[in-house]
Amino acid sequence: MKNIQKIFISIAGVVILILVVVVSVISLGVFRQIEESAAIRKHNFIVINDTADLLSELKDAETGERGFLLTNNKAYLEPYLAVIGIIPEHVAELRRLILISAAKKHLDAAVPLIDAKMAELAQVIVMRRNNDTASALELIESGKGKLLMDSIRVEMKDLNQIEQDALAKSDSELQKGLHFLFFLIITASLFMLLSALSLVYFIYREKQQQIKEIIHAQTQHLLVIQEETNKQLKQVNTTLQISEEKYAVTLGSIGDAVLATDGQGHVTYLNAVAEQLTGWTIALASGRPADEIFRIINEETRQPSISPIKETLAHGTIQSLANHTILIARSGSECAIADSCAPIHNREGQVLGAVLVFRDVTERMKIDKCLKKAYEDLNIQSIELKRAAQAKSDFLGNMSHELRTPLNSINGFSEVLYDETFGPLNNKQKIYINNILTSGQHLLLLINQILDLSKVESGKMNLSLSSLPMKNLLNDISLLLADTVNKKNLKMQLEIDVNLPDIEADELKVKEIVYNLLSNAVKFTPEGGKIGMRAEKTGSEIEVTVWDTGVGIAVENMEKIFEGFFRVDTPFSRVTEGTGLGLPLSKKLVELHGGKLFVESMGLNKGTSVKFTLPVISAGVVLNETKNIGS
Amino acid sequence: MKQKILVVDDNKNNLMLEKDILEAAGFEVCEAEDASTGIAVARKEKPDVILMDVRLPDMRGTEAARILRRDKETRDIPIIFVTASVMAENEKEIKDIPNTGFLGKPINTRTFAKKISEFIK
Repeated sequence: MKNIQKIFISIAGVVILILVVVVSVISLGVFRQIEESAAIRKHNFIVINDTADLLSELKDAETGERGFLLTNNKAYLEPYLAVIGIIPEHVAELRRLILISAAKKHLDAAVPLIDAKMAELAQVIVMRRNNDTASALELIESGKGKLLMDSIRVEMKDLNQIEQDALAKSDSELQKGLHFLFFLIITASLFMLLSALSLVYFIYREKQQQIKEIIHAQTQHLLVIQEETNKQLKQVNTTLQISEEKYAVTLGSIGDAVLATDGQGHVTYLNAVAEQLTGWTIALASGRPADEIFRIINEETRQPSISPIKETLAHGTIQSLANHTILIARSGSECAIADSCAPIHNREGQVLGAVLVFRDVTERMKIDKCLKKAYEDLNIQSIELKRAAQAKSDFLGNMSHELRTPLNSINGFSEVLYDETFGPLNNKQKIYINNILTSGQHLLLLINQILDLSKVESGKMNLSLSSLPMKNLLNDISLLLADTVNKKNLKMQLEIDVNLPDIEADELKVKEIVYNLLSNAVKFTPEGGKIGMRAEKTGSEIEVTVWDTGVGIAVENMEKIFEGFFRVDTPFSRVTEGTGLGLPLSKKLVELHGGKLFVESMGLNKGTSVKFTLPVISAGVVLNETKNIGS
Repeated sequence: MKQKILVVDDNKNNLMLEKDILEAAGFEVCEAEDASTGIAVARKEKPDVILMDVRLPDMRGTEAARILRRDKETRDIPIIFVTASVMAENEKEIKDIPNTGFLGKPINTRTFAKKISEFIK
């Protein structure tokens, strides 16, 4: 449709163009013809004029000749003389000008007549000059001249007639051409106007068509969109419906009571729990003011509480009930509740309603009360425990002091006696006094270890940190035990990494740890056995392992060895040897440094391996700056 | 001339032990059984060093030490606390008193005199 129109318009355009060209060409042709006709016409005019001139000249010549003949006055010859020279020229020019052959024939017929006439005139003039007037008159009277002149007139008249006809003919042709041209111009103009109008009409039609098509397309597009939108709306509706159902199920099945209102505070929804707590059904409650359904009072004052729904609707904020709120059900029964109320906003922020969520907290209040009491009891116990811990610490401090004071005498005097500072002893006395001293020292060790354990446990053990050259320290401690090792015929293996770094730790405590572990190894390994110590750096720590091939630890005793005063029964250890506190204390001291201590044993009589780690850089703080000059 | 040592201790046995050891080591020893007597003896005798118990019947040894530090005549006498109280708080108690040392009880009779000599050197 559109294409056909386009083609049509194109063809129309081409046709109009061709017409314009054709009309132009024709117009040009006609114009030329008109021009030609005008030229011919002009030519005819000239010929007619020239013919008249020629005849006039001949008459002038004859008049002049007659005048002279009559008067013999030469002045009359002037017209003759004036034209006599130019007549032949005029004849020649006329011949050149005449194009019509019929006219030319008349000229050709006239030429000898003119020549004869000219000769006759000349003869008369000569005769008169010679005063032979008689001959001249005779010649004139012969009528020969008049005859000649008449003949010339006839010829000239015919020639003139022919030219006149030609003139008339070209005139009419000119007229015809002009008319045609006029007609052509008018027709062409009209046609063009028509064409232009049609073209405009067609273009208008086409544009209209195009607009129609665009509108149609747009309409179609809109229809498709609308259809799509409808589909989506339908889907959204379905989703919404599902969602609503889901919410209804959710609200219905949650353990809390849910009450919803509209913007005026009228009930629109109650879930099952809300129905149960208020004693109202949704059917009865719907549309009623929420205050009627949700009646609350203060537990202590028994005065009505401010409704959180009203507050929420008024301010659009989330509200929570004060504690100790009692809900009075429709039946008059009461229960303690906790609740919160939130506004329902639309997108513009207008409050459309409120959702109140509340629950029966009777049970929880009971539990809360119990918990509170338990917490208070716990606090009391905690304070008592702290007091007990302080008492224990004080007791230990006092005990330590009280025990040390007599021990100072026992050990001091025994030592002085044993050293025989103030005189010699016999052998028996020396052995006895040594027994006293050894027992006193053992007692002192026990007191010190108990005190240390207690200090660590109460967090009162402070570390006096310094940089410890571990390689030397480990070697030195092993040397302290060299005697005992030799006496028991044990073999001691030391594998101390040459790259073992210095560590930041409390020197006395580290020495105590290593000494405790090594002396345990010696103590619990039978004669001829092996003990050893391995030390290396692992990451940011050092790891020291003290091992032996001794009695080991039974699996069931693995826990007990850290409890204190536990000692593996062994035929090699005497009761007085060891306190049973060395390992637990060592573990505590290692942990105080930020390290770890583990004991491994494959079982009874399969040896023991105690591994402990110490950080290279301690996180501890140097506290003890007192100058301890040693004890 | 013998160096003079003042020993302040309320336990007669300990007093005797320390006195005997120090005299055996060649010191001249004067003694006091409570803090106020100790302060009086210190002013009178001007010892080279005072060995001070901490738990004394009339006041704490550290309190006596502060009194001695305030007195022009006894201000510069070095004081060594010889005490059976080895808990951390006891150490703190003596930390800020200048020119003091610490020895725990029971004492090591074999090194006791030597350590004191080194301290007052």
